[in-house]
Amino acid sequence: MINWGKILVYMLILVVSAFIILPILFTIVGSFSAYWGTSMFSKGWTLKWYQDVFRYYGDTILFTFIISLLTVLINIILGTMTAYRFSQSSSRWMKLAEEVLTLPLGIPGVATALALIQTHAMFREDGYLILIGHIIVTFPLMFRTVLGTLRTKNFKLLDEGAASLGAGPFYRFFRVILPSIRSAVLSGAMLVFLLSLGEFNMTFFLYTPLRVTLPVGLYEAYASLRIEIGSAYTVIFLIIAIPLMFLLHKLNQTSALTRNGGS
Amino acid sequence: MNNRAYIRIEDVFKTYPDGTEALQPIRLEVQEGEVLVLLGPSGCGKSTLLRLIAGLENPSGGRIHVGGADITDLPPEKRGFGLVFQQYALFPTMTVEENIGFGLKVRKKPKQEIIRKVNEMIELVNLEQWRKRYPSQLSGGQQQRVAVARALAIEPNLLLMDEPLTALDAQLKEHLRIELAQLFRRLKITTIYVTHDQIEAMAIADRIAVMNKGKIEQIGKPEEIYHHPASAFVAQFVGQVNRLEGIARKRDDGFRVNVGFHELRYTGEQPLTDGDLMTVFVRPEDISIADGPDSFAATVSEVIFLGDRFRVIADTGTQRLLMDVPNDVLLQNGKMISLNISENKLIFTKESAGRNTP
Repeated sequence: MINWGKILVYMLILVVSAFIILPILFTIVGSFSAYWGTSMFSKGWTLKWYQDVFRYYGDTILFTFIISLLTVLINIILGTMTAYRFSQSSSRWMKLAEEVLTLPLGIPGVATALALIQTHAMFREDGYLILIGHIIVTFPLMFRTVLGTLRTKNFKLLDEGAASLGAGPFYRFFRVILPSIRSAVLSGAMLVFLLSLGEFNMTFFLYTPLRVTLPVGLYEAYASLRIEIGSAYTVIFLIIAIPLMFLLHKLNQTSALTRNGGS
Repeated sequence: MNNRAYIRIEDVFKTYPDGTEALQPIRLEVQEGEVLVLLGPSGCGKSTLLRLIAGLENPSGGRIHVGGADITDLPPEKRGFGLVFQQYALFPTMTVEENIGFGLKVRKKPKQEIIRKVNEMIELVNLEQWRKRYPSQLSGGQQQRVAVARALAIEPNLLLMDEPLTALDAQLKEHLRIELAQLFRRLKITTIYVTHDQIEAMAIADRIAVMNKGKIEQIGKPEEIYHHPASAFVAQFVGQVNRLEGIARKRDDGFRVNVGFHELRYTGEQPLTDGDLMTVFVRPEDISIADGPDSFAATVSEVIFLGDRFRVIADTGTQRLLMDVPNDVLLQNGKMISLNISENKLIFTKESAGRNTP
């Protein structure tokens, strides 16, 4: 017997997937087209647009990488240590502070950007403000991911056990706690990296003509140059982002497996 | 007690910020090599006292001395006490060997010495074939043995154990209880052991401190606690007991306590006057089936087979009595029996002294 319900579900998945993937496919194909007019390959195909991207935007790719990597590194230290401190406390004030620290996720990027410009204008010129902005916006992701894991197991007990064996606070954090939450820190780091890599809405207000990140450059390419260059630029972005997303997915699977293990 | 006591706890108390009095001022001394068990129901303050000694919590007042030094203000990592928790607290990212060697690695001991000590500990707790495993690959009993080995590896001058067997199933618990008791005797290590299980306490302790509501109710050898409980609470918490209400009556040959269905010869030490309200505690094993001038009648109302014996509930008409009967005596519900109470083991408390009544 034919299971129409099942077929309907598969059809639905197919349609939705096509809806999401089709524009991306068009972009990828379009980036090789010599002229993207009414039809895509009326003037043949080319790799010229990729050369143009590297010529015009090569340094934005490097700059974006530096910003994203620094954001990740700083948030690993800030996020895990803050989360660790929070996991050990049950006071009401800490609960309130926890909400405050999550706030940047809910505030529009524009608002954060404008507030940053108002308070720290002197950092804007060299691009430091972009870094600060990225750290603020991605901090909750790291903080929340690690705090969530720290609360699933009794890490306070591990900490007390290590203390009774003579380990001081720093030794305990770096040798006992951090290794036990490694997969959470890694997946938090991936999330932070991906968010920082694609961050547009706040960065758009913080960048200077000399310090442009990839998504802002992408916007410029689409807005002022040709759609083909923008497409090539997008493909380069996807090449960076997609492997990371797969890695993140894999990491979440393995950590789900190990999360229930141990004592 | 003398001033050569190894651990001296002087008026230590703990009050939480919300006003909860977890621990009333406690005075306690433990001798070197002694195994002291803190026994009591949950919330009696036994774990709090242990955590204060371990340095995991700070006392609200009082001092703690160990080996002549005041350690009250030292952080736990500076105390050098071995600590074993109910939930094992093994490091999940380290193997059995690494867990056991952790304390030595922290102390920056030479590699050779660490290997030697870890081997010695693994042998001590019988985990030879598990040494390369991770905690998640071990059973609860194995994990707890690793925890004990890890705590002993640093050669602590004091071992603190917080309900170490509570998370294990009954059979394993009994097995590990015997192992631990043997270990304590062999190593002669000063130990403070917290449990709510009176059987465990009896098996392991040199002395037991029975705690209730943040106070020590009685401290003494297990036999003392069992046969001469200092309060109604201790009598009822340690072992099974029948609680009988009665009135003191002066007779020609001394006092007797009338408990309604019977009159018991008073063997207590407190002076009585005729008409005093009394509470008498009788252990189930001190009631037996016997015919004699001092026996009384009862009906069997329930028989529970415990394997090594029967636990029988006998009804005298005014009182239900728990009693033990050998497992080869067959009884049926409703059968009339004649009972005897061995009078030299009774525990009397005078009601007017009342403060210990739970």
